[in-house]
Amino acid sequence: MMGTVHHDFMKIALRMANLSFESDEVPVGCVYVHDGKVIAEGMNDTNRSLCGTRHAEFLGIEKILETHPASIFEETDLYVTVEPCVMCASALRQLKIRAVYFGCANDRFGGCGSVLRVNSDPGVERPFPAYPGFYREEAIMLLRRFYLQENEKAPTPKTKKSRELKTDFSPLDLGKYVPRGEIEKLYGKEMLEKLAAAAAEAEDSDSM
Amino acid sequence: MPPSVGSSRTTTASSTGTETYLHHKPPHNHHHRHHISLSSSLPASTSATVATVSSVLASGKGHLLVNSSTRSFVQVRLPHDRTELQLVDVWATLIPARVATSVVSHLKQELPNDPHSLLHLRRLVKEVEVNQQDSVRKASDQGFLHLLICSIDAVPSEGEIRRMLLPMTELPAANINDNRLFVPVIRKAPKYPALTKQQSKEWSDGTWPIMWRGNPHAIISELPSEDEVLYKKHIEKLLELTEKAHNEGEMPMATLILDPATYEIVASAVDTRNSSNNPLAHSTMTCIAKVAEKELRRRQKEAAMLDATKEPPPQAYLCHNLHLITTHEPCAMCSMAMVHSRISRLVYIKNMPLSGGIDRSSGAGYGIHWNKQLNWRFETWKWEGQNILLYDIDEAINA
Repeated sequence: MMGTVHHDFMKIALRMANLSFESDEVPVGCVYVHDGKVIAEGMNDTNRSLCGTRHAEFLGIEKILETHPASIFEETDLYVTVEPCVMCASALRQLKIRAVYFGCANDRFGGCGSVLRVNSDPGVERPFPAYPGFYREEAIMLLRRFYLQENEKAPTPKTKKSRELKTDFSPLDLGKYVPRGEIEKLYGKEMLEKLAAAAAEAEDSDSM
Repeated sequence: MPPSVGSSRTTTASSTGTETYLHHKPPHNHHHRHHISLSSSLPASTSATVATVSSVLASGKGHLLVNSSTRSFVQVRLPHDRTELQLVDVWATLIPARVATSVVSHLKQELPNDPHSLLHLRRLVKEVEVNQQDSVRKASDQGFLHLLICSIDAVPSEGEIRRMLLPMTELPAANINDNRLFVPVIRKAPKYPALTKQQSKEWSDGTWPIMWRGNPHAIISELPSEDEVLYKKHIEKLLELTEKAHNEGEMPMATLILDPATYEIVASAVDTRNSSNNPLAHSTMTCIAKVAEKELRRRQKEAAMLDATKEPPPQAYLCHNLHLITTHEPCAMCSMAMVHSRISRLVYIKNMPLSGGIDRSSGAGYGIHWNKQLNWRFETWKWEGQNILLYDIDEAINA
């Protein structure tokens, strides 16, 4: 059982991602947290709106701005199931978001370390930290189930391989995103133990 | 620098003496004073392609940019697109044409993998093409070909090359008395494929010839003049929009999206971050959203008129094949929004050196329009013609 407060908030974000899945949208969900309270939720809306920029992050941002000044973001954290893309990372930085916690990395568009480091590169606004790995496997499985279903809907059937639901996960390179000293506080003791076990395993296979 | 709007108008000195005033009315007849100082916003790395000509232009209707004889847009490319010729040392030799096939297949067996891809270079070249000056030799050398063997990095030793070539000298058909034959020589060759046919010609001149097979990802090196005319017309529209925005207390930035097939302006938008209290209400984001809203309305109307139970058509990438024209270099957010919506061409007027997401010298140097890791690229053209007077905008603003 995952124990940190970050996991609790990510769980709500996962619920939004599930809702997204059920609405035939790419399953990404998020919550914005201010003073320990969720102030907005968001889910992907690109298919319904026909607009490729209607990402979960933006729906949450607009909801917040209906009732708050933009300055609230300076004291607000975002929990999102998938790493914010380059567009969203830039948007969040312009809003001076305090921190971002995400589930899985986004190898195609990720703007918080995977493709570009929009969150931490030199820039006009202050950088923000972005921490991966909260319910990462759950976030990945939702995406896999979604794309599997998309493939099945496709008029031309894809290869059998693309119709199988993969359940294995490549290890997350946490060091790429988070300083080692911050890991226990962020992810709990379990993560340190998990990382130590993975490192030992890697060593074993190296010596074989 | 605080945003000082519309108070002053300056021109930078013309280095070429071609400073031109193209407006029919003197500038003081215009209410607006768009101001842009090109020289301050263009870093040295792009200076080679940057015209230093600048002159005052009013944005009065129909009077902008009459002079279309000079190129007014330059393409924004990135250093890793290798716009400069880079050279690599290669081994070459002269061989009799009639043994060329045997030599090439023999060397294929002998040579190690080359650390440089030389596939863009011609393997066999007629003497006259390599050594243009030496045309006297042409007649006598018609039976000889220059052969590209490999890069020096693949085989550093000349002795090794000689050893590989030795069996070839013993071919009966190679028995010609010319002491230049089968002697390895070092030559310089273009290291990378050229991006355009013109560039291929330029790079081949005086080096080893490139084989131009066309480039499936070819980017045109010069904007077709009909497009220039079209964009200039739309830039006037943009300037009207920025003036309106300015008068309404908004940031003077504007965008429009154009369908180049029909010449229709699909949507236009101004920056509304001030009135909306949303710092992300940039003109590019709004303009892209408007394209989607328009299509959504059209589909709903169509669905209401036709069979309401019919499945809606699958989502298309709505801005595919559309051109986006905007006043300022888009920030990373807006640049990536263009990737997400598959804009096919971006045209903008002014660089944003601190916040831009396109030009390699802007912001963190992302070059989002041409990032090989992203799944979509779009051509980008930046205004380099006579000075367009834009309102002054703080360089730290995200456009």
